[in-house]
Amino acid sequence: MKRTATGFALILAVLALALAAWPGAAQAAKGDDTVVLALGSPQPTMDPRDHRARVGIIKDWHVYDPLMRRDSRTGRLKPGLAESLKPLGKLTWEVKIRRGVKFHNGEPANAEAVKYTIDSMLDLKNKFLGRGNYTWIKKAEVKDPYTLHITTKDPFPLVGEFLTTVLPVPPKFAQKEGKPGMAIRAIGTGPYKFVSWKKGVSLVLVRNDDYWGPKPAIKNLVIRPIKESATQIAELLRGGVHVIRQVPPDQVEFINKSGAASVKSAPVLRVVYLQIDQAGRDSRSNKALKDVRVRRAIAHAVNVDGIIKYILQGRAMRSATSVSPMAFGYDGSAQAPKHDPALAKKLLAEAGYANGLTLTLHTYSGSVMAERQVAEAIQGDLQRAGIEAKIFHFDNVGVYTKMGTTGKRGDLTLASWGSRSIFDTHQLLLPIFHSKDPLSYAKVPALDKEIDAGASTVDSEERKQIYKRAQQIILDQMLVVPMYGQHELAGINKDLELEPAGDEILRLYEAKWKK
Amino acid sequence: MRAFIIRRIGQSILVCLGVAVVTFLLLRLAHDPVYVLLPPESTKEEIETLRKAMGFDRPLPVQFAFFVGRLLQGDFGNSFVMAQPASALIWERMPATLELSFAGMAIALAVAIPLGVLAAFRRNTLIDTFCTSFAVSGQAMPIFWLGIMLIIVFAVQLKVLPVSGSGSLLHLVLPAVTLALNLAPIIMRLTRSRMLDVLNQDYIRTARSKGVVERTVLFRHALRNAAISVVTIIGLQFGRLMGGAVVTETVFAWPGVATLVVSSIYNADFPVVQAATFYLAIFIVAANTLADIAVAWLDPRISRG
Repeated sequence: MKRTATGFALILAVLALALAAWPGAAQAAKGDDTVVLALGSPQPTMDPRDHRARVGIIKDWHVYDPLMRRDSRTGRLKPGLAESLKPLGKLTWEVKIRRGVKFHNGEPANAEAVKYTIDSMLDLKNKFLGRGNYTWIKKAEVKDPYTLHITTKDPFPLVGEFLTTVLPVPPKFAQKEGKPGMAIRAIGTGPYKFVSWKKGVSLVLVRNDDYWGPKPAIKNLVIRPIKESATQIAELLRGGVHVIRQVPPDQVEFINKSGAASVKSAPVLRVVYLQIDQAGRDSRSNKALKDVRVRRAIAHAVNVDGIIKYILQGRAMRSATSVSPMAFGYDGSAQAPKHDPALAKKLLAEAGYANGLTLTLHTYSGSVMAERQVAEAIQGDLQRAGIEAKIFHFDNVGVYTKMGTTGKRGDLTLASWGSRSIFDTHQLLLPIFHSKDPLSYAKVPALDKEIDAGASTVDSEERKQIYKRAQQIILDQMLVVPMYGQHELAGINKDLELEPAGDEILRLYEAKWKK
Repeated sequence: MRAFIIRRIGQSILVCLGVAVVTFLLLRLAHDPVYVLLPPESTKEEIETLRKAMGFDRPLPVQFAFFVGRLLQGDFGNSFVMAQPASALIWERMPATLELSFAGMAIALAVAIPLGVLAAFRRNTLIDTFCTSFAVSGQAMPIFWLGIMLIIVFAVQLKVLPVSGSGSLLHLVLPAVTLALNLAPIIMRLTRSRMLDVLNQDYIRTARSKGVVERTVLFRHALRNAAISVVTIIGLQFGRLMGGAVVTETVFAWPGVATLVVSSIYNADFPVVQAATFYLAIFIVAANTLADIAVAWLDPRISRG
């Protein structure tokens, strides 16, 4: 009988001892020139070539140097590791690499290193996930230690834009360590240097005092993965974390009133729109959508300005054509369809649907801010015009994307598009409106022609005219209900000076402490 | 006893293999990894190239044969997202999860068993009512909400404990308490009801009437018998413990296996999800097997069948 009580006491004692003996690592000290950034998902591999994750791109811009950088305020391209870029004829571009820059391990960051990075990316054997950003390149040739010629497959107007995704890696280290070694250590030429990475805990970076450009004001940068938004906000208020992203719109006021932090917003490239299955790609789609009057009725029924004002609290940028106003080629003179429920009803009646219409409305979590509320607002607006919309919500963006590419999206889709952070109209028109693209639910031959022309024309003025015509076709045919460009909402500690950027890449190397 | 142990371990191995097969099939039914690994902005070419490179264009039975072949060598393949062996990624995180689970279980036992005994001993008094209401409210609170509330009170308002993360014993307090409050009620209620059963039996009356001290009656005579079902429940609770750990780790950004699994499921990182499910299944099965063996040791009738 004695065994039981003693046994229990023993188990408890062992557990308590094990607990007490667990090594308590030193807590990260605060107030020692260290800024902590919390991101919603964990870092993927440290190799910039082998991921396409937003949280990884943010890290990449701190440790590596893209060939071209983007000004966080103006959104314009500016030199990165490349000093200059100029076209030599139709297909060849000359890239001058900055002189005397070294990788954090001492390897020279010259034209050879850039060529190595591009070649390794294009080599299919390497299976790099980031390869898609390089497929426009036919070949790269070293002309002298700091001059590289890049030849494109076709005339390609977006070379400068795409060079923001080319992040050179040190060839010797990469060859010696291979994928596994590159996955756990980051060695670039960027403003911060890799110190340590404990997965799930933190990535620790320190200022690169030899950086060629403006050196960061803050010495240490720590990136922590915190999935739960409520936990992120609690950390921000407590001061354990200084910067968080993707603050839910309904938490903005709460954070601003806390006195510990405030929310700053910046318009980003990502646009939100209501896609209409005009082409009838999904066999279950309502045939009524083939009638342009019905599509116009939908556009006039939805109160986009109301959604911006009441759900997003003004934090969005109206787009008249569904192209981002920040993208090259946006037609600033275009007029968005007016909110007019009476007109919507009239158009529906003309089309023969005076008694109403039932449609599906699909949406998904992950990229459209407050997507449930926005979808419900659209549902309410449509109902007032006599259209019954059934909402289907998807939690997994992967499942949802597959439905999209296999033509199973149904009548209406509340969707968003980030354009790969490439600030050009082509990056939206091709995938969403070209009849040959897997995510497109539109079929207008005249529009296809304009999109093709835009992709193979290099002259900027000519391209602007092409895209103006293209956007007019989208509005005439009402292929989508144009809505708005989103904002990035960042929660920032009261002692920190930082502005969120239009390309959703937070630049902590531009942050500084308030005096 | 030896035959009993061997039989239980044999069954456990079969269960673990079953788990591996089911995980393989469920993941492939639920996900197409190429659509998750690449952003929605990707072109058709990119998607097809990746599908080929990853071997997802092969028929499912072929993929399954490869999977089983490697599984038998203890190899789950490399993580799609982190380019590291999946097993290594799991083992790297395992100590944190075990630390949290054991701490949670230890606190739960330390609270639940004394309270259960006390409630039974002082049945129908204020103490009993207090203990029972503690159990009911503990069971009613969703673990997610409880975690956030504890953060708000102890980390944001009182500033006595860290909000999230790991590294010191202080970091362990809130997550372990959250997990414990989720586990304690069922253990407490079971201890109480078993104790009540036992305390009504003849041998207890005999012990009392021959003048045995009450403390000895409670802990030596009664608890030992009540412990049999309590130990079984503790074994079964390991499953619940792991489920609770998923939520607790997520809320507290605790760097354990559970947070890794959650992000891997979202990323369709099959190798990691498969490895994690397999190892966690081993843990749960092992805990249950140990509990069975412990019960057999407490009650020799069981192993004699």
